Amino acid sequence: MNKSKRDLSGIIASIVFAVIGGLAIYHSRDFSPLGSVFPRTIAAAMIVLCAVYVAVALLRPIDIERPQPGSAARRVALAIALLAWALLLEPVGFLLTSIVCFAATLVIANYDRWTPRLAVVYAAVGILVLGTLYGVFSYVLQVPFPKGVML
Amino acid sequence: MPGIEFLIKALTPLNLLLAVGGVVAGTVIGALPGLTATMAVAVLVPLTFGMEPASALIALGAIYTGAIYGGAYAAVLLNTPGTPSAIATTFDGYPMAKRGDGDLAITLACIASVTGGLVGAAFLLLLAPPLAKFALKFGPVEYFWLAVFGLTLIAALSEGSVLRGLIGGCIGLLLSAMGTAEVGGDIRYTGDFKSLLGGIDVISALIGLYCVPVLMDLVATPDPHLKLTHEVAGFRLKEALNIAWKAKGNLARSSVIGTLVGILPGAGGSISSLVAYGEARRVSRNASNFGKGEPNGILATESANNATVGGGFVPTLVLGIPGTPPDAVILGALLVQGIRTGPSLFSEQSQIVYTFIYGLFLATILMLPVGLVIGRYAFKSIVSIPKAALVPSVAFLTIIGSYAVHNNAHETQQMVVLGLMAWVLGRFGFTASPIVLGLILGTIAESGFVQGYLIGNAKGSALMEFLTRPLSIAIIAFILLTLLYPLLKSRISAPKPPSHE
Amino acid sequence: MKSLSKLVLVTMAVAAGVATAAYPEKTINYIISFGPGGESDISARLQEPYFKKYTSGSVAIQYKPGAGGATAWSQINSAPGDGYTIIGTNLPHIVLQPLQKDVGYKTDELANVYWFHFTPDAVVVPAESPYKTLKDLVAAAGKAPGATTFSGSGTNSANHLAQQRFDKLAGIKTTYVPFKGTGASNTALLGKQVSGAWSYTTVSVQLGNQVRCLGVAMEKRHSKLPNCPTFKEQGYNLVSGAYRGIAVPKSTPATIQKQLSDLIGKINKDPEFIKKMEDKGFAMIDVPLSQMDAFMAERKAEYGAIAREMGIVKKK
Repeated sequence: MNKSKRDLSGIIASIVFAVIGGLAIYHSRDFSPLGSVFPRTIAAAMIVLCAVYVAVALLRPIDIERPQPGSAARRVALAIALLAWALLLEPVGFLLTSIVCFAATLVIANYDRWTPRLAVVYAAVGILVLGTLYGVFSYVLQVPFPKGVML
Repeated sequence: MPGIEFLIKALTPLNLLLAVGGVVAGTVIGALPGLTATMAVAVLVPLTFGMEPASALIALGAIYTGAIYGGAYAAVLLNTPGTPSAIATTFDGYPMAKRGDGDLAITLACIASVTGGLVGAAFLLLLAPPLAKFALKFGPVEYFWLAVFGLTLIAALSEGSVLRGLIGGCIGLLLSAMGTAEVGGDIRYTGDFKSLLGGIDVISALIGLYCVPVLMDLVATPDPHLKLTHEVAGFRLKEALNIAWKAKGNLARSSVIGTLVGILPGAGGSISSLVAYGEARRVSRNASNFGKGEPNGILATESANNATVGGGFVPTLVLGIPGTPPDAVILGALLVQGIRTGPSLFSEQSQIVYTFIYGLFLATILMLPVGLVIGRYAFKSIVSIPKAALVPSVAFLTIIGSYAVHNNAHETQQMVVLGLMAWVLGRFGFTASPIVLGLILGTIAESGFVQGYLIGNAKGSALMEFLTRPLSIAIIAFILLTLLYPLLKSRISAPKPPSHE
Repeated sequence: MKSLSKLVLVTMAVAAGVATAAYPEKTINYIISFGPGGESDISARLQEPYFKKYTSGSVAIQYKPGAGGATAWSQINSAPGDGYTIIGTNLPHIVLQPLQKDVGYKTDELANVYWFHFTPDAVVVPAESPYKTLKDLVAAAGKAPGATTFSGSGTNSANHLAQQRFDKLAGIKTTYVPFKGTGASNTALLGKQVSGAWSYTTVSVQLGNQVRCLGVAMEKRHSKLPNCPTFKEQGYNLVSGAYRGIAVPKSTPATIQKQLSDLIGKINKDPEFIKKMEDKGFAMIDVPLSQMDAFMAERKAEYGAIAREMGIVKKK
């Protein structure tokens, strides 16, 4: 745990949220009276809270628990894999996207040294997990998955 | 016990088999994030059309009960509520699992679920008609205050900074306003995305907000997901029963809260478990342990959410108004079966009703052995799977689960975006729970407010409508009590060192 | 890749053309644009066994809820047009939604093949209500404009539309309180949070003697609600409700559309089916493919006029 004198990240976040609150109020100008009262009230409350937060953070240094360190590269890779998974499953097809992205996340999460044996085991696990869940959802639960360009 | 003769009838081999099968199917479906109790019931409804009405009802009730319990697995082991009812179970369940007590947490959840389920079913059996009358006393104004009551939990849930929690709550409330407003019909904050017209789906948001940050932290280090501090041998049943016995007051209170909130149509398991959690925390001598792996937290939430099953059937059967979303599906199944619900159901078709209620008892009791066995298996597999297999499997579950919510990729995209957002916010010190509370309670608070305002204005004064109805005053009193109690308590007695651990 | 998928489409169209004689011969995906448990779901569930009875195929019901149905309707035309994907459609929804905003589809883009029933609008009050007849209610509302409150499902919905039209016909002013769905509206009604509810005959049948029905928007009284007079009997020309039908992707060949329309028509004439539907408070109508254009033109003119009066038509 590091001690930071000024909670800089909290201040930045608060300013961002206050701006979002302002935008929320700005975009509510076309709403009907009934539809605008709730978001406006909340957005106003959020701006006030953010202002108080910034004031408190500037006046009183506090301890902030730093999130645990770790591989930023793997995190970014996982984020990209998940986004790709969500965006491609409709145009490319659910099963194909899932096979590729499953393999990608597996590689991202693996810290062991790759050996042929490990690769075979994980490939088998992947086929088992994908096959079982896809089968259950598709046939038992009758979820209509996009077939995409293949299959 | 009224209609006890129907209990004997309910004990046919076929019905027993249906109850066991229903509990197993429900538990597994409920454990998968994205598959809710509503979906479990909806998927299996067609299978029941060929059955006798009583058998069909037993099967549906068993699936429903099992699914609500199954939601606890993912909450404890993956920090992802399997169903919205299990949100509050993550608060203490996941910290317990992290410190190596995941198996104990799951056994506790099982005991609590059975207790809550039995209490809810008992209320349904003995007090259904008067309880239904009570539920009708709740108007829009009361729903508004109830939602505000739920929001006061933000103060309790904010680790570190209440201000950050409140800002997070506002973000959740604003997110809940996105899409087409139910009341007023405005289209709000959708940008040009047609996928947002339907608003943010609560279930896909839950999966994203809770599960994606867990995955992000999992890949960052080679450490195992959950520490294993001991040999996984038994169920730790004795230990769990001891804890539960010491917490019998908590279990009873939470079960009653669960039943009472369950009978309010539209409130449901998520709110009942949140309210029960808040109350358990408020009353507890170890309030500061809550959120850090306090067994009483799990006992409160899991007993309350299973009690809503029995409670929710009260308005469903007595008034013909579904108490919870799964009840709506069951009500539809009843209609297709040709059973007319309503006040006369208990007198005219009492055989079906009592067979059903006893079937619910049966399913709830069966949940104990079934739940313990499945729970142990789930725990063992999660702790023993290597990270490289766990991460893609859980990621695939979040993708497939969020897709299945509406059979649409929009929800999957929302899930991933919200999840990444939650991870970034987490780095800035803003936790997911207040955002989720805002998201869930926002729609209830808003429609309650607008409806109450319209009705109050028609009666003469909106302000009077909000502040002078007896039930409103009672809920407002509870809100003030929850907010001021910590202050009062610290005045009365000096804080004790936490006795746990 | 593109030419490949085109080729597939052509092959499929040809295959569909060849197979027309036996349509349907496998499982039809029947998409419901709402969640399970609602009226659209229940009607589909009741139709399901008759697909098996009259054909060698069957239906699998799938839910695609979102944005009051708009999510599913805006996606239907990208589904394969082989007759094995059909979707439930609702009026006035599919006329009102595109008028109000850009929802991703236009009314004319939906290829409706049949309207099979409607749930007539009905005004109901709690059984203990002081209003014994519609006359009492209109008189009370006339005395204190705005003080009479009606619950209903949703804003700019069929219920809201009915309330607005009735206010105009009766020359009164009442307050409409929108709720999220029929269940929530019923709760408010039974709890006497509101004076009454704008709802459907199905609701009145389901709630039974907990409520009193003061008027139904039908030509003749509903067989299950013999004591509930029509609005016409009481001097108000109000015949309306929420219609349910079936549409297919636009690319579906005309012959298949015709066969599907005939099939739904056949189911809709089955006496056993009619009894089941009417027992639940539905009212049967038959608008097959041949009458579709005229029927839709009429509805569009009617709803459009009210929508403009209510001021909910989007600004261009």
